[in-house]
Amino acid sequence: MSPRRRTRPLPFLLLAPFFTALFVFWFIPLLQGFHLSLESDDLYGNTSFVGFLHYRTLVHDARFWHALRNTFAYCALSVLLILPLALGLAHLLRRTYRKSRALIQFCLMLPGLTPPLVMALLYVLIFSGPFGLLNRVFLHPFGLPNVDWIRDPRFVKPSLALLAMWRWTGFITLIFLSGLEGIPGSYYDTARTEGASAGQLFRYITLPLLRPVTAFVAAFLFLDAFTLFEGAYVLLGGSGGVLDAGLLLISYSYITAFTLGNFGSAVAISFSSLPLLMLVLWFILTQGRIRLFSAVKFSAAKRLPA
Amino acid sequence: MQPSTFFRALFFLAVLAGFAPAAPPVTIWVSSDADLKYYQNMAQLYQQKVDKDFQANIQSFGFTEMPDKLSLAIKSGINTPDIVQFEEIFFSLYLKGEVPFVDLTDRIAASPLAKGILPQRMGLFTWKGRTYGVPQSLSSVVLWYRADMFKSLGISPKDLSTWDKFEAVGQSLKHKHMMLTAMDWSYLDILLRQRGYDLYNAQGVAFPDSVVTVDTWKRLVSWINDSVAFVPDRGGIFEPGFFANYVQSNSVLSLIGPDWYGLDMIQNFDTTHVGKWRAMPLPVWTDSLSHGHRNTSSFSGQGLVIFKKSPQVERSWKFVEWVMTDPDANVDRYLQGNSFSAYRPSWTDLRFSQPNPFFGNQNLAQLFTDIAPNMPYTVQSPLHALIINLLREQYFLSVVQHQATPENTISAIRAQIAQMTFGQRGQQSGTKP
Amino acid sequence: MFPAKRFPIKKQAAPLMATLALAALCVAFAFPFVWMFCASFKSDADIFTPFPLLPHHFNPRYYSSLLDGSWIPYPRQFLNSLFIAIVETFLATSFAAGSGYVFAKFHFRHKQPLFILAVLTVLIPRQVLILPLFIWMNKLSLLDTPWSVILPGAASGIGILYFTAIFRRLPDALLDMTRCEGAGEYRVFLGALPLVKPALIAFALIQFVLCWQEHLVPLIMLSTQTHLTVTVGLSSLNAGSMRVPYGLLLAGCTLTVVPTALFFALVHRQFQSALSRLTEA
Repeated sequence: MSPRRRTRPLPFLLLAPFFTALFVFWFIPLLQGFHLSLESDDLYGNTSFVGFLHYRTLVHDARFWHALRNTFAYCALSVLLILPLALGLAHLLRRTYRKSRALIQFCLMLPGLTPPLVMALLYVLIFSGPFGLLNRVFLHPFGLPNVDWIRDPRFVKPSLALLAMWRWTGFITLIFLSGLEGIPGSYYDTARTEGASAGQLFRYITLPLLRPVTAFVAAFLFLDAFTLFEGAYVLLGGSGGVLDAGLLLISYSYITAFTLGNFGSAVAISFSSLPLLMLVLWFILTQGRIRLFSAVKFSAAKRLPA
Repeated sequence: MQPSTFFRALFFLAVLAGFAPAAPPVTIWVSSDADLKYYQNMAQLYQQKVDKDFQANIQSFGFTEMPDKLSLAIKSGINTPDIVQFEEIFFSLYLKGEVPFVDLTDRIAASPLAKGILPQRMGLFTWKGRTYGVPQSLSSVVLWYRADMFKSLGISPKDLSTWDKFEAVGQSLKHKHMMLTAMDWSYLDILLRQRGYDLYNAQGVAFPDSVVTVDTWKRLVSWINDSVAFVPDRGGIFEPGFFANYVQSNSVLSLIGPDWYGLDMIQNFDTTHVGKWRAMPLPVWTDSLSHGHRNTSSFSGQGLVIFKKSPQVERSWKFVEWVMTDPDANVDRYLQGNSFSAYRPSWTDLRFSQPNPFFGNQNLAQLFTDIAPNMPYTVQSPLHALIINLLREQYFLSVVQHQATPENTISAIRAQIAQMTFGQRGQQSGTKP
Repeated sequence: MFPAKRFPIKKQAAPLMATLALAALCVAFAFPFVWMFCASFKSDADIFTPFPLLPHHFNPRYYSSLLDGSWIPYPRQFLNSLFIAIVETFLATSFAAGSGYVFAKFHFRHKQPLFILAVLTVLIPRQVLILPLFIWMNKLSLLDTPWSVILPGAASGIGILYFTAIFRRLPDALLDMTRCEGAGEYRVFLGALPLVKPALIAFALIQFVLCWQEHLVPLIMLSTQTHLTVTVGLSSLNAGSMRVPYGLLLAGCTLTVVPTALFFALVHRQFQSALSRLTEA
């Protein structure tokens, strides 16, 4: 008898805990949050129902659009900074002595293992002014002028991206390393005997085979950059920085909720950015042609029936 | 009723009274470690001196975390405190609708606080004619300076009696690679108020005195151009990094700030120059735009408020009143907490005059007491927190970094505030800007 | 890699150069930690001068004052963090693994929408929901307990994505073998778990690290000092007073890195093999 015909309790038993937790601790607060975004911003006393007022106000809110642009720019910058770097490091890592690999991997992972407070304290050392390490070690010796990493509006987003890079590069490098090791050496050998150059090997073998991994990593990094508040909080204290150069959507939501006391508007801000985020993620995952199971294949090409 | 029954009932009631549950503890929220210890001590003292049943539950949060938790508590109504001690800047956040704190106007009028608190400070927690909090700290602004460096450079305090003279001295230090002072956004706030104006008024208008504001701002920018002052890396003075990098290397000779700057910040951050710091009144403005020749100003300050929905309003008020008027409480707050009281009758306490070795045994209390009558009147407005936030986070630096002019910045801030308060986002009882 | 005939010199030089380049990067990445560790023994005056690294006066008293709880109840908060992280990791991993198994191996109506629903949670940042979550936790009487932090983290959308992919790669044949022996579906599932052990461990590691570092949710949900997690406790110590010596904070931070670093060092190899299974082309 085919297993598909019987009703089995196991699948539902296994799905139940997750979906119960999802329902109780995500959906209910989500719905309550949505309801909150439809209420007036009274902090104390009775609120009134205002419908989509906050959402409508956002359309005219220049700061919201600025934050949206900043966020996408920062996310793109992080991803574009980390991906090639991690891939390059993974290549390098393959060529090092096997014995030193574990230590190097540990050192690279170290930043990812630390709580944001550590980064806040380290910021004082790394980012701050002419005495800060970034300037002292990386710029002065090369004769470059001081960069005011936090106060110069041109450098705030790169600073945030550098922070993300420092945090995630190790982990992403490890993922790429495994990806590279998963490519059979015979592919390269065959191509080389046919006279392919190193660049061609990379372009026609490595990249396509790493495509799903790259997409997964890009989606993960993009999501982290979009939703993580700790980075901006550490560097800018939750504010937007000079000329709002570092204002991310998450920071704007925080400022609206806590600095201004407008909780309803804050939730509206976060909800408004969701459709765009979903679109970008869908795009990334589709490009990666990630296969999950036959019913849902993240591919723009074709859809198999369930 | 028979007499025996009556007495039995009386006896029963007396027993019941003896077993009556003690009132729950009063919850006090503070935002620093030092305050936590202070109020724990004060609760004990109050229990000994006044109310044997008094119990307090004191919770301390990070300075920036406290308003977050308070907003959340007020909005949700969950785990709200009875008493909160916080900065007047945070108080302004709660003025946009119905004020969530108890109206203390009548209670204050009936207490020694009415005559005792320096009148200039009462406006800090007053909105639309009603007072919601008791200002705790005097926060008079003085010039903190390195007496040893002044001596070796031949500068005497008399050379800094006016701002023009101050700038001249500052310019003379150019070649010595020293700055007379370091600056942050608070200087705009402080100096503007010293001239008799402010960034907002009690009617809730932003930049009502924009001409003088622009003038003061431009003056500060000229300080930077003339190397009289500079802005530290992170844009603020309140940073141990600033002290480690600049103050300790004698690159900065003075700082403008309220009493707790010197007492709390300088004493804790600059441990290498014990005995070398002093304080003097501010240089005065001598131009026609400024009102009066004040030798001091004010900046921020802490206060105590009582949450409106607290089940123990009277109890909380009695404790607040006591902590503000009791001599021991005031002295302790100064000696341990580095906060000089705004309650004038306490100033005569000799313990205030204990010489402070960090400041070369200068009698700081005498200085604060002398200049207190010259302090400007401060008002409160729901715009206060917004303006300070925008100034501090974005706009002040962009002007001093020559990326914007004061006039444009004022228009930009006004526009942002109008945007932020547009329609008060559907609020029931909003205050129109 | 490179055929020896074509690049004889490079074969020897390549590993060396690669190692040197990576070593330089490692120094850049690891230096802040070395600094943090050394600075936790320095007095305030020394701290802001990054070089020399070693303190002038070796000062271990910050560690002792942390551990005997004179500033904040650090040991208690550390244990709170551990409890929360371990339980949350266990719940997140088991819930996601169980659901991933079902999505990968079974077919039923509404599978697709359920899957998308599960994954969508990933898109909502916690900050958005913090106020409704706070109110809801209060209604459930869970405020100020570790469960208020653990339970919202028990459902992980990324986990669903991850485990579905992992289990999909597991050949059905292996599972059918157990089925043919007459085992019930439950036994089959339990039998599948050891086959994906590295993946479980890898996911658990990431979850543990993320739980350990969480800041906003514990900050809002927990209020009593003895209930706080160590990250929140340290950060309120930092923000709460100007008298706190920086060395103390850094000592606290150094100790905070230990569990995650230890966990990583222990499961390193499993982690690597899990990643290679995931990224098989």
